[in-house]
Amino acid sequence: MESIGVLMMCPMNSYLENELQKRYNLHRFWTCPEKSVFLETHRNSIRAIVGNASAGADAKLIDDLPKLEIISSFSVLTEDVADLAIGLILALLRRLCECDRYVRSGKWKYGDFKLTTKFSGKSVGIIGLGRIGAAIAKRAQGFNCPINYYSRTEKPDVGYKYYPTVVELAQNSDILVVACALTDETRHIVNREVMDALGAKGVLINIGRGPHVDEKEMVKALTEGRLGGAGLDVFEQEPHVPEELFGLENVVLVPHVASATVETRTAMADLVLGNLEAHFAGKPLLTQVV
Amino acid sequence: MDFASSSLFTADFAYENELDLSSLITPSTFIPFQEPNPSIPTIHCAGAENDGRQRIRETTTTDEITNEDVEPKNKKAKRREIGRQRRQEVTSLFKNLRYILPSQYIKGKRSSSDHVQEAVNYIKDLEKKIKEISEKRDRIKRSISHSSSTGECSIRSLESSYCSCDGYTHIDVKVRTCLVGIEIVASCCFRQESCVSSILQLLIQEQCLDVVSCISSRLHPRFIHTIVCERQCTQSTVPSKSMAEESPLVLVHRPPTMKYMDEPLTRYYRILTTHTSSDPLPVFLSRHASSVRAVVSIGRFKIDADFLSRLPSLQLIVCTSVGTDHVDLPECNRRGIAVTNAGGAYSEDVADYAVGLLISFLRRIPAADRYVRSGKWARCGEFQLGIKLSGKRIGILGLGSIGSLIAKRLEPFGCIISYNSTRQKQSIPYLYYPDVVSLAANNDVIVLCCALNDQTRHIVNREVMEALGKKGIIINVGRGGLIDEKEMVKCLVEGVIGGAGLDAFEKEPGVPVELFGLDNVVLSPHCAIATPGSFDNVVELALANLKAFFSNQPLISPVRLN
Repeated sequence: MESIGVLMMCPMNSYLENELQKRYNLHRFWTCPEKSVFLETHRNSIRAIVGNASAGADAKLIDDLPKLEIISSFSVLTEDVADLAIGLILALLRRLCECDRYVRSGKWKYGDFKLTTKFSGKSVGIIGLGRIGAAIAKRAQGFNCPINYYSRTEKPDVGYKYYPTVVELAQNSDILVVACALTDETRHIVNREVMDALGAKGVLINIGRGPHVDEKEMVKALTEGRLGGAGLDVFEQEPHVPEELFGLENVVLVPHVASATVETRTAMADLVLGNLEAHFAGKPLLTQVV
Repeated sequence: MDFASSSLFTADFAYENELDLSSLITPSTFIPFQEPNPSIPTIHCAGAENDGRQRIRETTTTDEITNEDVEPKNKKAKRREIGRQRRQEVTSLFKNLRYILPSQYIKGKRSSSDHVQEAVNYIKDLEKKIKEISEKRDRIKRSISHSSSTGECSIRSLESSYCSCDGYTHIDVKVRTCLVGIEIVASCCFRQESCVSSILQLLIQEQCLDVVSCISSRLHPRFIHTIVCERQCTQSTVPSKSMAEESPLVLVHRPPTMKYMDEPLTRYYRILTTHTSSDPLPVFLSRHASSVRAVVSIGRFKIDADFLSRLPSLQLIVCTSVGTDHVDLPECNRRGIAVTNAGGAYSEDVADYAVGLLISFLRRIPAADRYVRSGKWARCGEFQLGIKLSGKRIGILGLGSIGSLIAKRLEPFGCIISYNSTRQKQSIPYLYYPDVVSLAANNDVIVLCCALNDQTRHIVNREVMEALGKKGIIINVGRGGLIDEKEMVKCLVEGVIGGAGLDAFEKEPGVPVELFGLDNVVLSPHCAIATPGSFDNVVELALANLKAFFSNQPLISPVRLN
């Protein structure tokens, strides 16, 4: 059987990539220097696209590929990312990492740990109320947190308070969560002004992308005490993390684990592979959207 | 002269001390005494109004004059000398007198006779004042030690009781005020059988007194009976200064570091703390706390039968913790002592913390944080994968206020909640399991948030942990004693269970050292409640319970004692 051309839109999961490589003729769209030339060359062999939330197949691309039969979307589990956001908030406010270190070092014998900050009832401001933002809001409501949000347009009927600018959102929230997609407009959406508005009692949670936050400014704000704390899953130059953060007790740093659960990695990748296999074998798809 | 304005003069002070004249007077500004004109003979100073003494002097002088004939010149000089000396003496005496007398007595007075008269007046005034004030003092003393206005206390009639033993006759009764009313201490011969009953009979007749306690100890060969009576009517018949207005005494049983209740309590109560005395605790209690009706218990100090036996007036124990396993509840029940706990004051913080421990465990947040800070992310690559939370089956042991808040928080995460509790209610929407083993067998996570008592000690044992299984997780925000800790450590090390998030241990702050090297535990130093808000809540609740108790209202957060 001639090898089936599969176009992968962006890097998303190495396990998936390897499996696609093994089974199909994989084209990595992000490595192509001349996209139009590439499309001309391969337009008749590409029969499937594997994309995700930030890099999908738009109308033009679909038109350019006359042999396109199936588009399979690899999405990180929304729940896992939202779970991690709440986990970072709790670990940060209640100093869970510090507590664990405190006990393991044997210091508890000499005295109790200090008081930490309550989470229940704190106001949560979410930048971007997409699937992930909405999932975070739903979880935070279980803790009696009032929810505020910013997005490009106000969403009717959500029941949360809308703010037209990120600065205003930061002024009116105790916890600011970055949950939007990374685009040219949202680069450094959390800048110095936003962080000053969030203030010495406010905390920042970034489960979006590193470039969402002006990292140099954030490090300064944290070390100078102008920003109360941060829970960070992503950084501008991963896996390099600014070393000034290593000595701070008001940060929680995790190595891009938002989608790093066993279930996300294997199960979702398997779902994509399963769908493609089913399709090309003429069998019914595992999941179907359209 | 106004005695009352002098701060030195109090009723008791005057009566109980020798009357000291010098402390009563205010020295006047010194107005110099007019020196008598030396040309005027001495005789003229002692006027007709003088008393006999002056006259005698005069006589002496006259006698000396008649002897003058023998040696006229020398005698004259001598006489003048004596006269001068006498004048000087008298002058200085009157100066002193003038100095001592308050100004209103010496105003306008110049002659010595006037001064002497004024001195007499002054002494008479003082005597009158002293009499007035001692009468006043006696009135006050009587009114304090007798709560009825019927003059003499009828208890004194016991003094005439006959006792046949020699040397130790009579019942000696002392009545004094104490914190709730009056304390009667009667000491009698050990053969005197009717002493206590006589006193108690008299007290029953006194309708506004309730006997609170009666303790008898033998001090060979006498008995000492201490009877504490409480003033029954709030409308006191005691004039003005009444002890009923004094705020109640509350005993605070706490470690030296946990001071947060002291200031709030002192706003409404007088407090006595157990750790400030150098006496051993039993001695301290017997000596100081016999009339204490309420104890505030902070920290994990035991309140056992011995402690309770030394507080005969105790009716309420206010605990600032939710757990009451440090209090002998059956003994309290027996003695009719009510116990309150922290109710729901901490529930939100503990529920938050339980969820935090669970997510931190599943997503390995503390380990991931360590991984980044050590620089390993850049060097060694991807961190190990975590475990998804949504869809997990969570079994809650103890669906009280904390358990229900935990369930509420985990529902939006897509978790499936079930529970085991002493109370199964139809209104609870979660699945009920009748015992811990079946709860563990059918869940991925068990969260412990029930009370520690005889039924729940080591409720999580080997059997439960084996039922939970090698992917199972224990989250403990209750008491360390809920888990058989030695078995748990073995199960964690051997992989019988998947892991644990632990905020409590059996012998805090001691933690089994085997846990320190494990990756599949998250450890925490019993700080699930430790936010400022929690402490504010528990202070408010403790004060509310005390207020309810002292005003005979229902308690806010009582604990079931059986």
